Amino acid sequence: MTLLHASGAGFEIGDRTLLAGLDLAVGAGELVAIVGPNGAGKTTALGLLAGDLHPSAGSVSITGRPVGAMPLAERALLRAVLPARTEPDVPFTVREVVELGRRPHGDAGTGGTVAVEKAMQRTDVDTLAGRAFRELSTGEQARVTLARVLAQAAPVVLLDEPTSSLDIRHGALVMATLRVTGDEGAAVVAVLHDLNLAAAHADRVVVLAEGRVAADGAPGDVLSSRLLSDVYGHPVRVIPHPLHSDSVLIVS
Amino acid sequence: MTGRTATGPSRVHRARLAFALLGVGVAGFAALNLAMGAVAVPPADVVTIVARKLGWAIGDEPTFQASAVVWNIRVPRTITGVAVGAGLGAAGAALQGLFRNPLADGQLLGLGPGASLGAVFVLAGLAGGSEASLAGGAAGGIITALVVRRLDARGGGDPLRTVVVGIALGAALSAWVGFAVFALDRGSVPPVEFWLLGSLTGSTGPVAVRTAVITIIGIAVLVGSAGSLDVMALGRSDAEHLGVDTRMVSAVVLIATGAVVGVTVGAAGVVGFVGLVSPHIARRVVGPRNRPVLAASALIGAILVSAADLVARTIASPIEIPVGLVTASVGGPFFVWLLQRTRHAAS
Repeated sequence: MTLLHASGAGFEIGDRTLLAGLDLAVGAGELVAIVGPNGAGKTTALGLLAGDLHPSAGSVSITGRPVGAMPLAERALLRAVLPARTEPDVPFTVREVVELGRRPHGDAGTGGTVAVEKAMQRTDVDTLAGRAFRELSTGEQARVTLARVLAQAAPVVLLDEPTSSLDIRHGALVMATLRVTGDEGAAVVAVLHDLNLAAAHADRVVVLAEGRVAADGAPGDVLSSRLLSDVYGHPVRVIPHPLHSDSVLIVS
Repeated sequence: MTGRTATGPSRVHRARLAFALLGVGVAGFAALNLAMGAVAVPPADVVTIVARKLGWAIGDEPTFQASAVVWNIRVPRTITGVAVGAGLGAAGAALQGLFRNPLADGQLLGLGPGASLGAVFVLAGLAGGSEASLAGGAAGGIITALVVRRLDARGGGDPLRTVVVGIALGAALSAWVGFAVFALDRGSVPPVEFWLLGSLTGSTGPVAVRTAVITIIGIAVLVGSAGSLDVMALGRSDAEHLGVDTRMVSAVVLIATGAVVGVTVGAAGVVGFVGLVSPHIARRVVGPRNRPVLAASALIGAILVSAADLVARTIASPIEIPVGLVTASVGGPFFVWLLQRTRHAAS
């Protein structure tokens, strides 16, 4: 079942085209990674999918309905968004921040408790529950924000660099969490900088370059030495993973 | 982990106890304001007078003078004081939550002086009574709140910049209040001291009732927006991702805040620092969430203004000093301490 659908979606500011011709259909259970060099249009793509930006061409719909036309409150029930940067100076405790994720459902104190607990456990922040958010490290804050996004329990989950400030263990933990979130029926789209995390965890990889889709498919098909070297303008080699026979390792 | 960040039943318990104590505090200072003043009325007679006016005939018939002093002067004045304090306390908490700025306050950001100017213009133009003052104050407060919102958006929401801009705006508006009072008919407009320093002297029954009603409605609107303000603490973009219409919330909060601060100014002039100080005390007692902070801040504001008016009426009795002098003399040093702490946290 296709939950998220972009059809020829593009975005321009003035006469500058930031993104053009984005075609993407993400179904329940899929984990899609968007990769590409700086300025390729990854965040613009996520903004279009989230409904933050109105496409200047084409359309974006969630469960068949144009996302831009939905009221904010309704959108919040259908898609959750993890921003690249989060406001660090939030006066609440970790649990209170995660509970804000239940706002669209209006059940922070009651039925949402289960979702809140589950989200905190999966992101390894349950031990921080009583701490003040503003006193946490950047990586801890990033995980708490992810917990808040998961607590929202939306069918479409969009994430802008969910692993950028995380250590190697928590990076892998977050990707595994996104996998589980997908397995439970969500359509998950994550902008990733770490190509190896994309190769290891994503069902599909969309490579953006200069505001266009350069490749779209399974990691093994898409992530080739030639394509990546070309797109990043930097020598990149893709080799078989020494530990996992079904995966690849990307080195530069 | 500190007690400040504790969650769970202990915090809920603590908050309930705090609200109970604050309620007792409001009632206590209200009672003292009814009992004390230039004319000595025994406490038992105060109870008798109020009860008899409410249709409950107990005790001996009180003297006409005592009855007039308590019912016509002290009761309205006490109600106005509680309403003004509660309004300023809740408005301060709402502004601090909306601007995510611990230095925000209705008087400091210029809403008070803007309301004064509105009240003076309407009083002089319509030559009306207390209704004109309250309505003009509310209009002036709302307009100034919307102007401050624009200036805050242009400044990118930098906390100290917003405060400095607000202070400059307030100073200019205060000066214009002075010009307006001197230029316009002095017979229909209270003197400049009233607008700049505040006073509860003119509180009649109608002023008390109207101020209380509008303040209660305004506080109810603000408390209703408190959950959205919690989400907006995450930043505008994240709040919208969680379904909060931030533009709508900020417009509602500013209009309600402007109306509440404006009505308090129309009733009692500019009473400074209550809106700044009350939310900080409230947060220490009930934690950071906007709903309990708003409610507790309203009660603390009511206590502060009631206590300040008690001092203003009795310290140099039978002469009264402006209530704003009392709140400013205590609130000023608190503000300095707060600025020091904010600088410290930023560096």
